[in-house]
Amino acid sequence: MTPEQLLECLSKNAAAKGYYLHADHDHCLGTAESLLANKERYGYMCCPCRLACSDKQQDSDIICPCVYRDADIAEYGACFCSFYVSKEHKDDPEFFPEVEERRDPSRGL
Amino acid sequence: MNSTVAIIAAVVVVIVLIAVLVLRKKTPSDEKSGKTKDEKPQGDQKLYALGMNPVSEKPIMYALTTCQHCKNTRKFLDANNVDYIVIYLDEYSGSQRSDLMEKVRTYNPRGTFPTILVPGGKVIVGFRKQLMQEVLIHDTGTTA
Repeated sequence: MTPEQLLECLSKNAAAKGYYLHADHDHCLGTAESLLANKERYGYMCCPCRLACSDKQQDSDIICPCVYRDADIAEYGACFCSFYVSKEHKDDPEFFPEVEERRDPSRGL
Repeated sequence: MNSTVAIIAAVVVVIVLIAVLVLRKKTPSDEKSGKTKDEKPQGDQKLYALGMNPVSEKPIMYALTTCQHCKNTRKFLDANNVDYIVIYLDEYSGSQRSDLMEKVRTYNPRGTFPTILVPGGKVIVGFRKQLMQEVLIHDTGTTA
């Protein structure tokens, strides 16, 4: 699968939840490349903005889309990686809010 | 007698073949589950040592190779001619990866990336253009 194909697939899945991919296409393409790199490295598409521990069970909350996405978009308008955004920000390529990490530090490494 | 030896030999050959097949099957799944990660080459050991004892005249950035915020931060620093050292935690595995993560948490308890240690003690977390401008460029009147 190419990064472009992955973007198309994720874009459709996001639309089903009322979300959009970020308007900065290069940012999205880079994120898609990183997701595929993590898939190759760990065997699953772990969040590229977080350090995986290589254990699928332990990393299950940060497999993209992570379990924190809904809350992050509701509060900040974007997910932790600014990959998924709300409808309100779907056309703004400069929208990169500082999203606080919700993940409990005890869950990671 | 000869037929008994032939049967035993055939059984041994079958067992060896099965063992070879089982071992071949196991290797990829073990890699997928991460069991062999510790056997993979680690990242640069000098950078690991620096990451564990971050004393430098240059800013030290803890980052991930996959993180867009880290890439954007690097682009900004490069565009502003800031000299810095980057340590990619995802290039390490096993205890070295967790050691480095523990070290990052001493400066940034949330353990997020990028985390930049600025000489003098300031810590910049995330892609913070304004803060980097103030701390790494404006403060000194020159680049760090």
